[in-house]
Amino acid sequence: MPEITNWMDQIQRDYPDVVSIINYGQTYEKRNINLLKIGLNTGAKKKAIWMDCGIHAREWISPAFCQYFVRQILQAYKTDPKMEEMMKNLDFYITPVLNIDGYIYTWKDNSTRLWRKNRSPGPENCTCYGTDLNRNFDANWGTVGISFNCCSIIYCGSNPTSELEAQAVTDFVGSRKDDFLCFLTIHSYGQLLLVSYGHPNFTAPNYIELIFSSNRLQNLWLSGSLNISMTCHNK
Amino acid sequence: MTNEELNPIHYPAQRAAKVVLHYLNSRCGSPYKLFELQTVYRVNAEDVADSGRKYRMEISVKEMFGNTVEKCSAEVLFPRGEQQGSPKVQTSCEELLKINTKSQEEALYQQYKTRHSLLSAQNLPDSYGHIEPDMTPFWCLGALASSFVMLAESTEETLYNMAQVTNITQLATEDDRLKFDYHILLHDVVSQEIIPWNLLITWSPPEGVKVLQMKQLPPHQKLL
Repeated sequence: MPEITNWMDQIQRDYPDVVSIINYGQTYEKRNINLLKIGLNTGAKKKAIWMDCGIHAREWISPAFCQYFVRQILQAYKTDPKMEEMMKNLDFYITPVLNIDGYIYTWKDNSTRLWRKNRSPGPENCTCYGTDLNRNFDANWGTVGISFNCCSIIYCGSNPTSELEAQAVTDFVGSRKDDFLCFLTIHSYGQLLLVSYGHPNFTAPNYIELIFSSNRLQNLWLSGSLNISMTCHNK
Repeated sequence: MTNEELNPIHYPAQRAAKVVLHYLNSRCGSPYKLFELQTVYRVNAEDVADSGRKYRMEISVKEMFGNTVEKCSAEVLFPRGEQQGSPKVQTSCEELLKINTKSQEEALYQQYKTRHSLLSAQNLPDSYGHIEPDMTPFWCLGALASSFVMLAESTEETLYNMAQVTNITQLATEDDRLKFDYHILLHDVVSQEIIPWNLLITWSPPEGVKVLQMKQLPPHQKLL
């Protein structure tokens, strides 16, 4: 995690005209939740794209992807006119690691690697830790795909947005919701594109558009046009 | 619902197809031969009175080490209602099963039959996804053994993968088979749970993998 924080600072230093760091909350263990706001400052009010990574602690490739994505768009905008256009018209709000406490816990030792939830303690009568942040949002909360058993890996918390991390996202995006064109949350594994609302009885008003976008992305992937390869560089 | 054509790229079809792979790996895999699901082309699901729900499918299967791919048809019958037990699988896959890994298996077998010390290994892969190349056959053996469990435990609402071999302890034997105590972690994509299992297995090139005992374990304290 310190490496990621240092990298964020470095990125901001390297690209001061397009990158700023915004602190928008704190985790249960009182760590700062920061995002990178990436876009050209035109003085005008801009539309936005949200992307969060690392909401599930063990999905290590997710924070890696956010960092990869940031590097790609920053390298591209100097040379690719389309990317430069995007930077002028949009702001990207990218959170490399949302569930910082959980992520740090997965680095502790071999037996903690597969931790998923955050690290808030369970309710009074429970010895288990953690709420699944991706079940804590106030969208058909506590209905499908969850458990009220606090030891469960998909424990949805005591209340909607009871968790500081989920609250931080809700407050930030909620207070700017007319600006956001697109909300992306990155996970692993599965090779799945999932769209709202994850409930059999509720369909998003823009469902057709969501499916259309997913299909286009899927076709790009299947055609081999998307070329993503990440290698780790040892320091 | 009696008869339904499923969308082959969506979840329910993928879950049913995965079961075929657990079947193939448990029956036909070796430390140098492991199968994975490539593509699901077509799936039809039908209720069978008094038995359960039968999924008929066209899929392609890939052998992981050699990269060969074969298209096969398969059927998976999930028991329902009063019927209990594991899903029943039939497949037409033939070509992939003929892949010959006998000489590599024999070399591995000889090496571990004649060694003075018994193998002991942990965390395959490690936290960074790494497996030492000479441990890969033992990771693979773990995957084959896990397939017995995953086949037995699969339902229409599960999607199992082996997440990790946490521990391997080789045990001495009186006969000509190699014997191992495996501690593995299964992951169910649907519930997202990590489920530890303990497996006592034997292996030899002529006989393949045999599971002597399998036992589900309680979750690790650090993951609660």
